[in-house]
Amino acid sequence: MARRTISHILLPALPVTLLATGAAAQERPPAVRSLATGYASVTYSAEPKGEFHNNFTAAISPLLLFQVGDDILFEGEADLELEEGATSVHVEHAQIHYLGLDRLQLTAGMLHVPFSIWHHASWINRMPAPPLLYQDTHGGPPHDALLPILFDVGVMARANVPLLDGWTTSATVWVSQGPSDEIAGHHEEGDPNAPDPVVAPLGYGANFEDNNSDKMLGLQIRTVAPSGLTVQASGFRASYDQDGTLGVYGANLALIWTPGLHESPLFDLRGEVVLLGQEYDDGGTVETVNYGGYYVQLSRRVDGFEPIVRWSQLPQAVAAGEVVLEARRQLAIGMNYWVRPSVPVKAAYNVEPDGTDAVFLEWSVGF
Amino acid sequence: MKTRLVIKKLVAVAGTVWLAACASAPAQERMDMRNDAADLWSSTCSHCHNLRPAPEFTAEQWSVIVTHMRTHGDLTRSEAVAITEFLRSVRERSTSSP
Repeated sequence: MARRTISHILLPALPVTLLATGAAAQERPPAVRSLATGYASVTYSAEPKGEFHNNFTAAISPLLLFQVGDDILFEGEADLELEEGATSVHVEHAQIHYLGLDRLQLTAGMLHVPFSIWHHASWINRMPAPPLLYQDTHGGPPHDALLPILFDVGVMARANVPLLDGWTTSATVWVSQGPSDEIAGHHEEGDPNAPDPVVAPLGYGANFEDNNSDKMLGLQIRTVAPSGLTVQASGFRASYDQDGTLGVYGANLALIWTPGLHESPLFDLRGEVVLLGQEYDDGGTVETVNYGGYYVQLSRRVDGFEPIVRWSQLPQAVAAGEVVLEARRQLAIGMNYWVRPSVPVKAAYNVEPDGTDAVFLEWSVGF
Repeated sequence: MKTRLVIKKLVAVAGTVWLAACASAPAQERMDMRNDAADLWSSTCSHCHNLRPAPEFTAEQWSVIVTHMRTHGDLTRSEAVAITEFLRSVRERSTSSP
């Protein structure tokens, strides 16, 4: 009897349940969603003065986004670049995000270290070549720049902090492998019998083995005002030698001002100041060499055209009486034409009074 | 050595304080201040790149893209949800209109 009553209740309820489940299945997106996308660029560069050099490079960066439920996102990005007859392959990102909390994001994996505002994706960059501060390589060593674009393996936490009405403020902390002075075999150039440099060149990121137990520790605070002004301060410290006794410290102050961002931006003004200190052993005593540099960039979009100008400067750095970084100044003038919102054609001319001028033509496609 | 230790401690303490402050913050507060998803979409996304028309991607793709962008911009979870819903509705309107 009881069994019959249950079946009387359940049977009519079944179609209702199935209908309800079907409706829910239609409304709710699938639990696992993925997107294979990416960006690509072809660049022609030339040094027109002195002995003429010119070169084509092509790069493609496939990006895989894999979302599990609403809380987990895997983001994987590779960079394949063909330059001077050789193809290089690098992992740019391979990171898992936990996004289940409203104001807190937790990330682990191969990170884009949140130190600068210069973006590695060519279709987002307004200029085909980075400012003097940064070397457009994957992890370094930076050669005649201050830093590579920083990618590293580690963990990161980013929090949105409600401080002022209408302002967006975030704080990010990260711990990652950090730099290393054991970079043999990585982008090494020059005479192998040459004496060791006074200050060791450093490799940053996952392409270099971590040679000590001291990790890079960093903090970034960023705030965006309703007026379109972004101010971002970042800093890190790490040890780079095997004993973990020699440190490197970095600080970055960045500013982006885009008035009228909500409708039609009047212009985009941005700049960064970077200070870097690296300790070195000077005959038994630990000394510090200080590097610094900045750039300022202004652009304005008029229909599909975007004229752009950038000034960057690196002062000379001296350690133990030796020049370890030559002073450089650079004026870059460019014009972009946006074929589509994610497809720019970029032309730029870099003038270096103390160095070599360069011409760039680049066609990028973003997703 | 001493300076390094002090900097290390300062960074660790500052990071902990910031994380604790945001973990205790009410989740809906910021959305109340800026609950216009269109405004949020235009101001956040165009900080780095040009805005993309909603019909360029499917609703499911937008869901993944906005989640991805949450990790790059400083979006809260509720803001990301609002932007996704906004893009879905714009997409539906534009694809259903003759």
